[in-house]
Amino acid sequence: MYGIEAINAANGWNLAALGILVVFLSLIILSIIISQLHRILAVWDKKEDLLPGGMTVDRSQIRGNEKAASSGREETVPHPHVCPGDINEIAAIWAPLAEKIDDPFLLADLYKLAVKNDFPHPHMTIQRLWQENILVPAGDRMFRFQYERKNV
Amino acid sequence: MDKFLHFISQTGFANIELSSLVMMVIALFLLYLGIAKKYEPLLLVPISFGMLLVNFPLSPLMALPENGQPGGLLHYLYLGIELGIYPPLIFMGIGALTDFSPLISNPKTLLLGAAAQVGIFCTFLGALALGFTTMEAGSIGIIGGADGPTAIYLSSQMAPHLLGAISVAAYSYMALVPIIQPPIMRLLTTKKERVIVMEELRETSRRERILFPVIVILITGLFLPTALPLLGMLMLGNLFRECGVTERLSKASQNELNNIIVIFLGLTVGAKCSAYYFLTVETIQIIVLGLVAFAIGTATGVLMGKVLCKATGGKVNPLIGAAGVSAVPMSARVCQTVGQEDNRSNFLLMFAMGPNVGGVIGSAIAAGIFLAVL
Repeated sequence: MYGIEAINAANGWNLAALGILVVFLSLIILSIIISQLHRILAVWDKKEDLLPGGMTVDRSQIRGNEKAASSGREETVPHPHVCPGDINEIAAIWAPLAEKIDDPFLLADLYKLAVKNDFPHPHMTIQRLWQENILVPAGDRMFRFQYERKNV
Repeated sequence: MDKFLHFISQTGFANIELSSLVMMVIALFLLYLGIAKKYEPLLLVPISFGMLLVNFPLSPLMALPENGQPGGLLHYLYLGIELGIYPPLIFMGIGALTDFSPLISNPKTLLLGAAAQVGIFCTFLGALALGFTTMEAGSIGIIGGADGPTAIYLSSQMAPHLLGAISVAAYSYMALVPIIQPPIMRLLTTKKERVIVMEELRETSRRERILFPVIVILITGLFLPTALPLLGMLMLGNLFRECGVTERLSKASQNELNNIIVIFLGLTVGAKCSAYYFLTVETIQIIVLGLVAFAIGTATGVLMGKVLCKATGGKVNPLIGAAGVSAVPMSARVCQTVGQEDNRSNFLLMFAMGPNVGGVIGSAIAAGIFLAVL
């Protein structure tokens, strides 16, 4: 049996429609739950503020403790949470990071430092800096960060 | 003299058949593509070599045990496919290698992964129309998922006699993603859509990344238990990677275990490509249907991308929909390349990784559906 007749005989239309429906339904449910996950976690983090009987935790005390704990840590290079689109802005943000390591340097070292400082998307950004000739090869797998600060 | 004649009769020269010779030529051609052209070499090299080994006349590698004698090496290794062991273990390695952050930070791209699976079901209908049974049609349709282990898993469970043709078609098209997808992507999008620069993804927290595999398993496991062998192992591998306390297991899944299974899987898939199974009209039909599946999957992914683009007021570049066919990370790279043709400063790679890994989940779910209903 061939053609439409074979599809009808095997109940093909219904099976295909069911398959598409189940794939969409399961991924839509998954998508909705994942999109709310960070909000749920944020609420979870604030649960200490919602203690029974209207009691609240003294946040200033918590912040004081956090500050005391962080003072012992190594100072990190400041950067925005979102990577800007303009290459000059990116270079301006990354320049202080590059200054922290010996010149010339291995890209792997720059990458490690960026990860340590929580820079967003370090791999992609390094690739872009390389493509834009801001990271310039210095031979023997070493690189230099060549950027002159402009009005950004 | 008798012994000499007996020896001659036991050589390959005395037993060679034209069909075996044709298969050996095909195997050598695939070996060439894998080594010289670097088309999916990690899989194409062992597959083509396995194909070469079993097509020698009187080759004992796939021999069944008989008269108290053990069977061939590849016969025993093939049990890993027959019993559905290798593909889930490969999925564990993929899970350990995959960063799901782009998907977690932009979960609506899962819809692109879902849309790209439409190709699977359209091809299922096409295969039925060509006279294949429902089991065979399901196995052929899954080529559109562009996910080798899923295609191998499903065909080993539902149509083992088509395993060789299906896996060769699946991996060939995955290697040809940079050739197949761009014309379809350009045809279905305008230049204005292709130049859209997407907003930066938000950073995901470690807790989100740890909870993600657990949530995926809880939902899909309850929805579709038949998808658990593949998705369960994918998510276990990812949990190894993200939980931060099983680094050794994560590394083993990514490297040693994954590489060993890739060798076993490739060799035994190739071993199923004997002339008897491979040189048939069905193989040509499967290869054509595989291409159709791939093209439809790409097209529906891009079309869903256009829908999302409209729905979000132009914040989604429809090109990333093409990455919904999985083929990780090749199709995401294709999105990046096609996007940069019109806008040099457009970096779509990270955005395309969302639908790309969403497509892996989608195709595993599609496989689970076929296993449940056929």
